[in-house]
Amino acid sequence: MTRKYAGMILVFMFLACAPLLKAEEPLQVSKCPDRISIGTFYNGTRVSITGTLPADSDVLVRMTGKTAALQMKKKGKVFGLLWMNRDTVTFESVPEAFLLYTPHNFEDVFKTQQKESPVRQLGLTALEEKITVSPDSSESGTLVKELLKLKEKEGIYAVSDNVHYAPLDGGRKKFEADITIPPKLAPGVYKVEAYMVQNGTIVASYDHSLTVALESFPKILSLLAFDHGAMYGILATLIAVVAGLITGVLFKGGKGAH
Amino acid sequence: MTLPWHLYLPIAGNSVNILLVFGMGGIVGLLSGIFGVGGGFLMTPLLIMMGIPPTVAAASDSNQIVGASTAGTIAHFRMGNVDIKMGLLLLVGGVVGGTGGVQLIKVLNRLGSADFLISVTYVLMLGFIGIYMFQESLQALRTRHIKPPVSASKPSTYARIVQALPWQIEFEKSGVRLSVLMPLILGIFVGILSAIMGVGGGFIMVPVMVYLLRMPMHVVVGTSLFQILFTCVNVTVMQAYSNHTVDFVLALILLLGSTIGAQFGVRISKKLKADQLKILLASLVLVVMVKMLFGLLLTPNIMLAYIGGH
Repeated sequence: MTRKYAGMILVFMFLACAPLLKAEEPLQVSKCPDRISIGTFYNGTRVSITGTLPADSDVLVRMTGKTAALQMKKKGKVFGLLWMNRDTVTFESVPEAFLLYTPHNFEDVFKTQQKESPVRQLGLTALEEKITVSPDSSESGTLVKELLKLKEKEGIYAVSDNVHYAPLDGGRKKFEADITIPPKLAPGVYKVEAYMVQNGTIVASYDHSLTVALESFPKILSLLAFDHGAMYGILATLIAVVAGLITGVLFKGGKGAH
Repeated sequence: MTLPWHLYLPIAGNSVNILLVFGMGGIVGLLSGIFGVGGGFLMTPLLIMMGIPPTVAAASDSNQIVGASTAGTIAHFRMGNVDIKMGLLLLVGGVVGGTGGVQLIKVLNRLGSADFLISVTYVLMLGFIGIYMFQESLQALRTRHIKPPVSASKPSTYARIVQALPWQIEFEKSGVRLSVLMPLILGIFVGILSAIMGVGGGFIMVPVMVYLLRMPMHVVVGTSLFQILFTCVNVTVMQAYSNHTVDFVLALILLLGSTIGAQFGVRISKKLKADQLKILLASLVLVVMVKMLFGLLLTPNIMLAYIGGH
């Protein structure tokens, strides 16, 4: 009986101490949102990720989407003169988003890493190596580079040295990364990750899912357009005609007609 | 680009500046009212430049043209500038030609040569129409003859063929006597071209009415808008139903700008002489043609394109 009570006390003490044990974790992320709502006046947003880590470490913050295949048209010359969209190419393992935030000058750390090292795998160069093209050809590498260039232009892929630190007591520092969410980012579930790097090695990590979802008017409009296409089309046409008629009448009243 | 208001467009999947879109609608509406063209050949590339996917840009533009051409048609109808008989015949031909054109694109898509045909057709048609109209109007402005546009460059064989066609009827509003077949055949021709090029076809229809149907310029503008209205109603409903590419919010903002712009355009159109109107439209068509030609000749910034765009 005594042994049973002793066991229970031990379990209780462990549970009571759990938050304290967590507080000992080297990488602590204190702020990371769960959801971004796309409302009527949405124009992209900023998501702030904050936390603390040992003063002699660095943190990388990454937001990625699920990977999928992407079909695109390759531009080529016709008759050696005119640029046209020509053959279709399929890219495999293309993430929906790739936003990487590093501390200042972290690029140098990436450069010193071995090809297969876990830290290097977090970067854009590793992503470039992971994306495959079919049909495979001598220009596959160039095409992947072009794809990344296009995604960067859209703001869907980005690498930024925008992680800022502030010193704290007890050999720790505070970090903050402001992730810029472009308006073009499609609704869906994304993953926000933070990696603590010490001497070129990942020591701790954190991940959290972030849902980007349509709300209010955009949600209603999207449902109507995708689930009731014909009705939506007729409604759009009717409203356009009515708006045209109203303008016509207004101008007649104002200026007089022949 | 730091204007205050942004609006999220769920179908286009991007946000736009309301004032910018409104202003763009106003300018294109103004041109639409002046020249009787839908403005699709101007608006669609502008929307693509703003980050709207090409298919959504084209379909949403059709939706706004419905409103703009309703307002424009009414204004022109009051001035007696709409030849309904001619417009309906062109429309029937346009629907037949458009359906045929869509099938042609489907076949060419399978063969992988649709994009090439679309771009080359665009440049050739814009170049041919632009240069011809420009030359002709410039000549007319220089000689300042009061008689109707000279057709010296047209062989009389054309006139003989037109007169030899059966079922000749009087088109009172246009003041011409023509075979019913003429607007039907030309409607089919414009329908095929506009389906290939993905536009309402106004900028092809206007020169066709002026030079091949010999209609007076002011009736051409009103009748063209009347015909475009129906073409775009069809395109909007079809696109919304089968491709879900109509962004109604985008169309509505463009519409507010363009319906107001179109009203001013109609009044400007009334004040300008026919040759001045033609030379302005020709210049506009040539500018778009040169821009497209550069697009074809210069090495693109990015060697990839999303499927669905031109």
